[in-house]
Amino acid sequence: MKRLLLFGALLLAGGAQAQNNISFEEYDLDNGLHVILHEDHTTPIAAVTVLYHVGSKNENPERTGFAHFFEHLLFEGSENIKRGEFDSYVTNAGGALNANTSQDRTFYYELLPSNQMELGLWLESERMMHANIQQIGVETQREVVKEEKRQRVDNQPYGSWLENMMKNLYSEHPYNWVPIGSMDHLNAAQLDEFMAFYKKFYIPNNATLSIAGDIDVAKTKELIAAYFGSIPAGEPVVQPTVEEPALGGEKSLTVYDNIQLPAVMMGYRMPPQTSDDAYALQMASTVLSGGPSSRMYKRLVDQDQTALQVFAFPFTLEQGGAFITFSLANAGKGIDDMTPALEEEIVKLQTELISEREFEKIQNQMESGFIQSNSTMAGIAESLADYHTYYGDADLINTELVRYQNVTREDIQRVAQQYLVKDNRVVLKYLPKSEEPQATNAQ
Amino acid sequence: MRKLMYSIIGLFTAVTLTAQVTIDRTTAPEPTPARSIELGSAAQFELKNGLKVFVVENHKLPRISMSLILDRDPIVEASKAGYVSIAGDMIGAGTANRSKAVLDEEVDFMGANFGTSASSIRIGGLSKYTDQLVDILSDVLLNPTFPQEEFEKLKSQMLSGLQANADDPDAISGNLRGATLYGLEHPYGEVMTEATVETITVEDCKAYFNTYFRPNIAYMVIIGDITAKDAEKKLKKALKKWAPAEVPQHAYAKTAVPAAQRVVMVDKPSAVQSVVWLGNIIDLPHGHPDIEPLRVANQILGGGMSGRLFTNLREDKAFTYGAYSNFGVDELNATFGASAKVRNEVTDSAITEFLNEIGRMRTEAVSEDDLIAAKASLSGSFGRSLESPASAANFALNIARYDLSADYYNNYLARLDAVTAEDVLRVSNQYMDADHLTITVVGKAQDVAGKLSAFGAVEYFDANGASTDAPTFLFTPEGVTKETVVNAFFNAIGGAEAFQNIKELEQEMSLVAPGMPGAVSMYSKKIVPSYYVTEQSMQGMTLMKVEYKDGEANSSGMRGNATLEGDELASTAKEAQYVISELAWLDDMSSITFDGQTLMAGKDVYQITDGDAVHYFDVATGLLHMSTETTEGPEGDVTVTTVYDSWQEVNGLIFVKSISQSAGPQSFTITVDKVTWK
Repeated sequence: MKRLLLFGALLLAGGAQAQNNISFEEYDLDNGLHVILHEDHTTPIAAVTVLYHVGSKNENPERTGFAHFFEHLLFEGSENIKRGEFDSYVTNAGGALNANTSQDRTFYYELLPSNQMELGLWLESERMMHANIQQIGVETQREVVKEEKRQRVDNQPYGSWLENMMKNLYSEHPYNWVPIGSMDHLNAAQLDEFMAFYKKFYIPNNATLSIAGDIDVAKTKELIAAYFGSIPAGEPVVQPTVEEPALGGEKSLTVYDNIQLPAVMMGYRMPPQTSDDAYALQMASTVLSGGPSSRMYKRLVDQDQTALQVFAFPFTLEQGGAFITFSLANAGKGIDDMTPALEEEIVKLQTELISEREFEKIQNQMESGFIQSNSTMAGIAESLADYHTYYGDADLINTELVRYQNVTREDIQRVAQQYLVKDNRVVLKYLPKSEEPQATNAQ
Repeated sequence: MRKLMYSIIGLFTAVTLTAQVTIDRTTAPEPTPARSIELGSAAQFELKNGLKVFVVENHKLPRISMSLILDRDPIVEASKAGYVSIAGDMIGAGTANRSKAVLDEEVDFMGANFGTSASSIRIGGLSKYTDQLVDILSDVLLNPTFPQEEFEKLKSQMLSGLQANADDPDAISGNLRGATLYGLEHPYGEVMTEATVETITVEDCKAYFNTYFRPNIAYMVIIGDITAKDAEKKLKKALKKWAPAEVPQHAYAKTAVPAAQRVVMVDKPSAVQSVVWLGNIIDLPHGHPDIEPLRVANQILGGGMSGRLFTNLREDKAFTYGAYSNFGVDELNATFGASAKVRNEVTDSAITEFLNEIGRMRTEAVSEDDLIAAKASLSGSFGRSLESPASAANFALNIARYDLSADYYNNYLARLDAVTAEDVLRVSNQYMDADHLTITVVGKAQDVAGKLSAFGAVEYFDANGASTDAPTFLFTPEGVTKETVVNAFFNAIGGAEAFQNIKELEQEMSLVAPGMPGAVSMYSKKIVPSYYVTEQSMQGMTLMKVEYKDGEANSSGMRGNATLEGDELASTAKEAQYVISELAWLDDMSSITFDGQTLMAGKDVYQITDGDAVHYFDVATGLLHMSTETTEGPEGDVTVTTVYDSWQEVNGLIFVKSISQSAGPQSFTITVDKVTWK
């Protein structure tokens, strides 16, 4: 009986392991396209995704917004797909599609019924092989992108904060601007510049094709070879290597916005997302604002009631990024009511080790988050591509938790001392327009 | 043996190489045979206290989620709007066994998530903590304490949230939609404001909880790494003390559509985009056979990137980042609507396109291609939704809540497939009520309102959905110029020529001011263009007199005598030159500008600027309604406001009868008692 029980326990343990392990196969085509395949037959769907390793940091400083603009442009059609039909092929097949652009990458995806997976390969290979870049598409998408910026930034309370933060946090590095970029630059851009951008970055050796779902791996590989194999490789893309000088002192600026509640954002420069320190900073942010029992939340929202909301989060990027605290004032409270407590909580991280109990708590939070992530085929395909592109190790989808587990309490204290210092930060104060001094108004 | 294996592999590789697939890039690949989709199933049981439980087992990941959901009628909160929401938050604010801080700490320690609302309590986390999660859920449900301190905190947070929302165009649009479609008295239309939140007490929250959080109107949905049997055992134990009680029911009349199309607007002067939503109330309860046809119609109109709205307003016209339509399914009432965020200058054009596309849905049968594509898209979306184990739970829950047939969701795809183009046309006519749409706009009225009147008289609301006066802003109406405004004015008073021909004008007036012992008598006379006198006296005593004659002017009175020079002389000369000052414009139109049309105390007026003076002309009568003039005084700028209260006819020409003047705290009225002219 005892042996049986033990056997059962082993089975359970084995089962749990198997549940969490995401198996995948990866390889390169001759033209350099990296392929990652994950097979899971639970639901008859498949996520077909392509990640191009180009984001706003690859842009010419005189042509910001290009990478994101391209994301729009590449839905315009191709040699074999008429203008405006990219979407309809997918929706008519019962699928969904979209794309997004960050500082570091441009990501396209189709979620399809698995019997339509090949359609995704066709569309993505068309996009990579010979996209149709024409004046009419450029003109249309220029206006659409302007509307996107109005919707997301200009017409949105606090909508400009990230742009202002990055502009001040980085001076030399292209993280100085955000993916939406400058509308003036987009207005100035000529068709041939768009063509050149496409030739430079939309090449198989700068892309990862990641597919997850109800697929037959052998058959899928054949189809991939057929659709993508003949696309010629391009000149290898060289990622920027800009040495950003130290910030060299705190920068502070005030923005008057169409808001009622003041807010303060503090941004500290961060090391690249792949570094051990980035993991330690992520755990530090969990100490500060991971859940209602976290330090900053408890202090500012529950106890002092100076803030309506407070977040600390690492905005991690391939070559750096920003550790950000964002604090929104409660009605009747101001920035000066919140700032001392925010500062004190940072200082406390620097001067005292977090308690064993707190350490265990954030480890549990990391574990829980890790186990519960990657529950959809779309999420798995994207994570695999991200891990491959930024870390060169797609298997982090199974092992990344170890990187959090390697972080010690001392590491958390050290990174707080090293990065979360005034000389390394930008303080943004958002105040209602009604508080804007008249003199400034006149300018 | 090994060698054999290698050679077999080699053979296999060779075969695959020779059998390399060929593709035709010029057309989309054909799909392979579709796998049938499986809906998944939920185990169901009921506790003795009436709580109905659904369990969807899913052991793919070691996690579990538990949601307690109330099925109650909508509630009118009236003067306490917001209390149900605070009550929902208060449920999780501490128990007899756990203070809020302890509760938060326990939840975070497990890396779990937990939340309460007015009609739910939800908790989830890793399945190794299932017992603790059940324990917290039952403790919150059975022993909440509603601490006053937490209540005050939540209330102040809610008030802060209202302030934040005051600048959020989407929040404003939601308020506007509810208030204008359902009305502020309706559970779907009422708006929480600072005033309503201030009246809420912790007792309101307790009463709400005790009344409505009862097992006989509740469902528990458990999803994840647990067996139904295990779940039943745990819940029976944990929730056996939860007692049923009668829960009040609330019935509401169906909401009617407005008699005609309405245009409703919240002015947000800082807006660079208009948030446009237009739509109507529909009556479409769960299980209704029109749901699938309307889904197809909505998909074709505005279901996504291939929808007509997106294709037209974004891909063709580039008005917006996205345009969509949507509809709700609700036992009481829901809405059909279409929406987009568009730049100010194309707001009216965007609405026109919305109306065109809705009109097309109602008049033209959709093509077979459109029909097939929409059905494929909807089936695909349904198929994708099945990836989440929550779908099976939602299906079971809806079947129970809305008394649907057991195979309702199993038959969804068949119902969808049966929809015809005629069905789509019929439901488009029935549910897209093009003649009774409410067009809601949150945006910069100054830039967009003028053109909106093409769709109907614009009604204005504040950010909380309360009716308000139209904002004062300027816009340029079609065909109006300074010339037309000035001409209309002279036409209203008898014609420019008639006034230009007046040689002599004499007026007797009386001035009354609050706090002054008696009236001041005023007299003026003009002989064009060389003589002008004005005199103010009280009880026969001259206060001040100014006389201009042939290029010279003198003043006399209580302040002594003086000879006028410079600007003062020029202004008296001008008085002599023109019987009424507006005649000067006819000689030099370049001195004035037409600023636009605006609204002044409910009156439409045209605004004309003349140096430091601004004149407002009544759009309806053409007469001067008001003037303001700002002059530099010893203590800063002083603005004198003159309102022309009434006019009188004297021998066929119209002259001012009475005016009210104010400058800072001072005000007085002047009545013109006698006018003679020749």
